[in-house]
Amino acid sequence: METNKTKWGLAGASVPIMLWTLIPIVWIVATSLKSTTALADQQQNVFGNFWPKSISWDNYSLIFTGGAKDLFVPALWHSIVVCLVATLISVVLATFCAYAIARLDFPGKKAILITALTVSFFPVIAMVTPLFNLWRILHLFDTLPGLIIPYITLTLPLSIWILSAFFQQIPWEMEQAAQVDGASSWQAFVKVVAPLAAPGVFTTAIIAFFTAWNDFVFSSNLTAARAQTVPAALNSFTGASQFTQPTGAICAAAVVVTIPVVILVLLFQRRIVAGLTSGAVKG
Amino acid sequence: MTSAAVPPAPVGDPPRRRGRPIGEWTLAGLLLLPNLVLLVVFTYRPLIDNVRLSFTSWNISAPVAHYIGTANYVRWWHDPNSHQVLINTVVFTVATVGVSMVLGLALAMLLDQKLRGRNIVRSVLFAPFVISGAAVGIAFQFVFDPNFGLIRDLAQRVGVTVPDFYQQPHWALFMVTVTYIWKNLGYTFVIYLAALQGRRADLDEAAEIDGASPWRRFTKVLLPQLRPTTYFLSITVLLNSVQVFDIINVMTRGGPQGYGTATMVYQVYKETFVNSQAGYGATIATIMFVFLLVVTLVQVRLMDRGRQT
Repeated sequence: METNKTKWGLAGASVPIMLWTLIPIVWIVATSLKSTTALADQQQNVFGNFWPKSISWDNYSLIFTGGAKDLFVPALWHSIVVCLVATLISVVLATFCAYAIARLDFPGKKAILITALTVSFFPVIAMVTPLFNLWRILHLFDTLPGLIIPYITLTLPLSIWILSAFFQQIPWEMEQAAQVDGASSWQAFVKVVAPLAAPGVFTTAIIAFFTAWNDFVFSSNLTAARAQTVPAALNSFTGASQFTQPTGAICAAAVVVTIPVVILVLLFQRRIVAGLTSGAVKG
Repeated sequence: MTSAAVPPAPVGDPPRRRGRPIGEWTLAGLLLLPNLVLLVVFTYRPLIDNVRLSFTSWNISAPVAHYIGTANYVRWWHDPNSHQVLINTVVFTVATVGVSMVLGLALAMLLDQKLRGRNIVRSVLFAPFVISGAAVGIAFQFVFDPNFGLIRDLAQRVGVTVPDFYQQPHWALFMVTVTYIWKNLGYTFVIYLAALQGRRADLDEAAEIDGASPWRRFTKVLLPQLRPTTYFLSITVLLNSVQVFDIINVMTRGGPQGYGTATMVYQVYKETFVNSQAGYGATIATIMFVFLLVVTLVQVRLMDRGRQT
């Protein structure tokens, strides 16, 4: 089993898998680093020769300070604000909910959990039109709150689900011990439970964040110019550019929107996987 | 999930547990209230509103929707586009669920071994899952580009002509399916890998000592152990792939030839926001919701049955 031969065989087998996964990513990074002249030259774009001979930051200056600035910079800003705010609110509320479910005695617990989790089976698109209509009446169309609210409800069931699983593993006797020592429920929660729960809450926040960060359906249908996030803006690039084809700029924008999630994966892959599987094992 | 819920106690009954149940109920109520309000107001209510709109004729730019009964449903049933969209949806979903689960399991078994650099391989494979679908669509536009795309380029070197993936509906559907499998493979892979690493190795060893063939060990020992994971994945992957919108919108805009790669989600979007027929769009969304509900209920039922055996 542990012979060198099988080891090398496995390493050999993982090379094509790595290539299959990496080539599209490398391709888009390479394209984003090419000058306009290099992009126009077919010979410099074929496989084996697609890494730029000289790295050009033109596309990045185009989206951050140049002609595409007005489209991209606000979109990046909206993405950051909307996703951070929605993640924060969603995780705080889900923590309340998961704590109550894991810890408190009250009637109808199962019904409440089902009410929350059933939402994950709703097709997102079925909620877009009614929200679009409601937002028009409430003047929330194309505003940041108009995107924050759907992102909270998009990530809430997921967060409740993951946190409930995490909270079931916490040694709650410690909380009782604190309460016996005279601490109130709230004090016991803040001083004893919160530090134990923090890793689970953090993991949930990461997953909620990238779920919101990558959303396209809500952003492309509930916003226009004033609240659009990057994934929807990427599409406006292609739409607006039929004649000019700013391929490099689109790729640069795609790379920028990908960097935060790739960093999250590299740093916290284990946690993310643990969060995603928390439901798989327990059901 | 939590085990048995506490049956509601009638008011006035003596507290049956330590502490102060009424205080606990109040606290629970306060903690749950914002969650429930948000979910009811911004998911349940819109969903019900969507069903109401499905019985109306409503131009999205008009203020009022007119009730027209089941006309939209009749229209959907007879709409040739709907038939194509339904086939596209089934093909896309079955292919992405099937292929990404089988490949994900194969990769997980491969990388379950102790291998140098395994963590890097795992991170790389997982990354596409968390990349925005819009960015993935853009990357694969270049992979499949008819003029300078990677696939055309590779095929030319070995002297094979490739179809124009953007012009022929079947190939376009193939293209978006492959793209989504690329994105989703990391998910099935890491979930299966986590399950493999948490399994009981002694069962496998015992079977090996008993002289069971590798295939029998796989089908009789490994797969039954992975059953909960397989059910979980089949539900979550299906829910995700039925709802893919970003990749299709970025790569093909539902085309070629009108509805070449349009799935039900895309049809809802197109009828509602492109053709301004929001009532009809709501009808398709409602039909989609019912399909999804039935399929997931069947899956959950199967899962529960699988767990009992």
